Amino acid sequence: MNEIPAHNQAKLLEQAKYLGLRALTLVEGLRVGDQKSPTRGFSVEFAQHREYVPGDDLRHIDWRGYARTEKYIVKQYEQETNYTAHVLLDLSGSMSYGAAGKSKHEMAQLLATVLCQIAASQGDAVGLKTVDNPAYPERLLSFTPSTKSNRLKILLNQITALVPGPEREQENTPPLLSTALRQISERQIRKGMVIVISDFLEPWPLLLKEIFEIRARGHDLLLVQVLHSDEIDFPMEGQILFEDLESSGSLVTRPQLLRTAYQKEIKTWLDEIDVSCTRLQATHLLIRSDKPPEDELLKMLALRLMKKRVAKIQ
Amino acid sequence: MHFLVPWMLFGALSAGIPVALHLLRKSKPTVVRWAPMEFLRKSLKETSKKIRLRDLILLLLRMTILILTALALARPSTLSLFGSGPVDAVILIDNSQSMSTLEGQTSRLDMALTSAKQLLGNLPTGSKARIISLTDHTVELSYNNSNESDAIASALLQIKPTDRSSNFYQGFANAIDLLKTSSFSQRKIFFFSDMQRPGWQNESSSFKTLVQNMPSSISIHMIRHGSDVDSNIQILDFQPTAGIILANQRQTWGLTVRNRGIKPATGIKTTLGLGSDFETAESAVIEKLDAGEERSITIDLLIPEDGHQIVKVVAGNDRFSRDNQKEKIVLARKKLQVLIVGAKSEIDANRDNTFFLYHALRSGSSDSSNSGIEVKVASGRGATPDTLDETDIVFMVDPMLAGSDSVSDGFMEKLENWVSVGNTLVYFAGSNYAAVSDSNIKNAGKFLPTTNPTPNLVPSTIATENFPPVGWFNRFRSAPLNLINQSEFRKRVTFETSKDYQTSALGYFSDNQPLAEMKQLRAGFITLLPWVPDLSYSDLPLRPSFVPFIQTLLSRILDTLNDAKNPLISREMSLRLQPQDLIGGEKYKWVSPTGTALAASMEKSVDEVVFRGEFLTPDAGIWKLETSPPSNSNTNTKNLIAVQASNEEGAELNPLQESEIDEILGKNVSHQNNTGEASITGSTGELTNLLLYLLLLFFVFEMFFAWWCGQPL
Repeated sequence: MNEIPAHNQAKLLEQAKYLGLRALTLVEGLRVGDQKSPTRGFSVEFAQHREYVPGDDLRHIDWRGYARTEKYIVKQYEQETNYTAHVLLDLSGSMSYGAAGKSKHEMAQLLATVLCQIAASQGDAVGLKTVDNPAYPERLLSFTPSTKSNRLKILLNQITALVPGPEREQENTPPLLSTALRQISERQIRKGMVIVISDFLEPWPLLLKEIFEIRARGHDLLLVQVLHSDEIDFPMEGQILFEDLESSGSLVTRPQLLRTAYQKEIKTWLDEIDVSCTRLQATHLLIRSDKPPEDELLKMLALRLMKKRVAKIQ
Repeated sequence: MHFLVPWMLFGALSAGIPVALHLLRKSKPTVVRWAPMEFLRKSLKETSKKIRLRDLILLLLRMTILILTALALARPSTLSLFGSGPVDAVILIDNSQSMSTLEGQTSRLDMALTSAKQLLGNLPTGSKARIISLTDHTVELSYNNSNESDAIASALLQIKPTDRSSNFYQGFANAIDLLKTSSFSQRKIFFFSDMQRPGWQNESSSFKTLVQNMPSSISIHMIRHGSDVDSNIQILDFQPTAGIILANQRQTWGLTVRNRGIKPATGIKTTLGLGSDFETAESAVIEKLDAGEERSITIDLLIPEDGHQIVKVVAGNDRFSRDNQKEKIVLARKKLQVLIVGAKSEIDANRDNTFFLYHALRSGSSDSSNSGIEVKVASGRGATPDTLDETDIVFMVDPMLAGSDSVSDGFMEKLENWVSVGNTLVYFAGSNYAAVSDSNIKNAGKFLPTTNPTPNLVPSTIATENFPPVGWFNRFRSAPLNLINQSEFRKRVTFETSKDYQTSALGYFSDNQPLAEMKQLRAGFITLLPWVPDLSYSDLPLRPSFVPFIQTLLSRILDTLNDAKNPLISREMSLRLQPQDLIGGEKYKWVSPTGTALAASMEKSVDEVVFRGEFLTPDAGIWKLETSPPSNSNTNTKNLIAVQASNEEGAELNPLQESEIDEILGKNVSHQNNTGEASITGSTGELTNLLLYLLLLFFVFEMFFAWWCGQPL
């Protein structure tokens, strides 16, 4: 697991739970929870006014408004509910990059653990699915969303038990994440939250299409991108044979000669993801696997909380 | 182009090292399993061309550096002096007197030696060199291995400046002889000289034949050192005007000075003094001496002591200083003791045939009592052997050698010995000698020639135009003394010559017969005149020019007596001493003016001791004969000789033109001028320096470029 000392992890979890994992969009839930429900009824929180129609409960007539306008208007309230959080955890070959304790794989596991616990602590249902090559069925986990604590426990144990895979033979793999996202968008009925933890090293147009679909269906989307610093900064020196983790390709070059151009490409790509997420009102969080994630994670959670409050005021 | 060290070119193969390293690096890279390959490919696509170009440039730079290094070490040269392959070289170094001319602070000889050293150092590997120093004789220095700097330096150090004249022919002849038998394909003669005219013009006619017969594979290269000289003051000669040098008497000396440069010289201070260090001296200033002008001046000098003395003169100061001074050893006398031996006059029984001569000798000074000449006349048997003991010079005037008027017993034998140890006899020969029957006189035939009356003599006069243009008798070439040619000689004798005779004429009659001749007799000499200064032979004794003639003859004779102490520069020197003057010691050595010691051999006889020496490079100046170990007698002035350099070197310091040299040789040869700092290396056309500059440039550029590319070496 990523090298966050145990007491820090506990602290992180506490702080994260305090901030909560708020849905920034309207989600549909079966129970009363902290999330906004897309339906309007009579509940605790005032939502809006409308004209009285026969049959409305007289208790909801806004008498002050009548006094002002001499018209009968009723108050409507937000109907608060819980949501279903679907966590997609990418464990494909590309996630194995990094030394032990600093690999993307381990960071993704950690983040999945933390986010699941946050959602569960809010009373939200949590489901998880791992994304990996079907050739490794032991690494394919699928948990249907549930609020039951024992289910959560099993889920967390399963996640924790996942160890980084062995060195793989180069293989030609299809775009697994895009496929998984499509499955979510096709199957899910109720609007919920989709949390994707991956490096997103698949063709971005394909991913964007699926992300768009998910958002179009009204799901709240949190994209947690895990990359190693090497993949961002490209600091290597000397003559290096780069072997593709997810295909049969390889390349010999001197990183020092390509560094500037590579960094530019990566930045362009990350910016594109950012812009796309902003446009789609999805949250994009970039975490470096070889650095402690607390700051970035807590910042993201705080931002979401703030956004929610702003939205409520409005 | 060729290479002086061709095997270094194999180093250029090291240019393959960068290529090999490049390939080795590629074959063993570090393996990294990588996820974002797409980005890598994109960035590679963007930069691959640049990377390839940079790699190529770096590779080429590194290969070029290695190739340039190999080329520089191989020492390429475009010199026409050296072709490809080893050279058999003969280096001729001119170390004649003119090579001591200063060019700035350095002499021409030093410049030549530096050039020669550089050239020897630049000879291709496997070359051979011989070094010959040449003046008018050659000295071959044993040196057989080229490219050994110590051997080169040692051989060149043996070459010293000399005061000798130039004669290049023999040097070239020796060089060609050495190279004729050489097995090398490249055979070259390198001549380092100031190319002075006299060196070429002596035996110039033989040069052409020498070069024409030279094998075509031998090439000649001239390397000239020396620039034109503006003015050169030269002391031609100096002597007392009176001829006789008297001790403790202020006497006038005549000095002849010449400017052999191409521009006038001004303010020429001329100093005449006693001793090499000018213990006493007097000076005069010549305001201006035009180019080519010769002038005689006079300076008075007092020599306080009698005996052999060093007299020195210095005139001016210029780049060629060797001819600005001269030293002589002269004999100062308290009085000159002259003995005249004669007989009765043929035409006047009341007087002797010595009458006119006696008065001519006595009239040499205005104050005859103080003239410094004491003349004794001995007639007939009055000439005894004892009279020679206190005599400095003997005039013999056709003594009546018949009957009771012949000389005393033993006189002639003693006279011969007396002359041979360094004295002089002036013999006015008459026809009476032929009638000798006295056994005493017959014995004299050993050293006196037999005479016969000249038959059918047409009256002749003295050809004054044939007197030598320099020297004592020069004065008779012009008025008023040239009126001596009006005297008519009706009677003369002819000397019987023999192959042992070697005489030099002092003048000629109008029929080209010698007026007077000098004959060497070991250390002394005899002046032979085929006439008697008596009216029976000519009217000369009555003419005004007779006395000057006799005085001049006396001065000339006395001057010649000094010649043994003032020899012209030669490889062999000698000094004759009388046994009583022998300096004590077991071994002897010559000490040169510069302090170099050379061995002296000794030959002893009853009458004299002769010390000889063989000097490889004699200096002009005072040479001392010293004992070894030293003794007090080493300070004796009798042990000195003053070697005189020839005036020829200073007569023409400026060089012969290249075309003139080619004409003398009958062939165009290569010429090179090093008139300033010797730079034989620069003229070799060697490109090493250029390559090293390029190499440095490339190296710096490669370092910078590699750093910029992120690929330091």
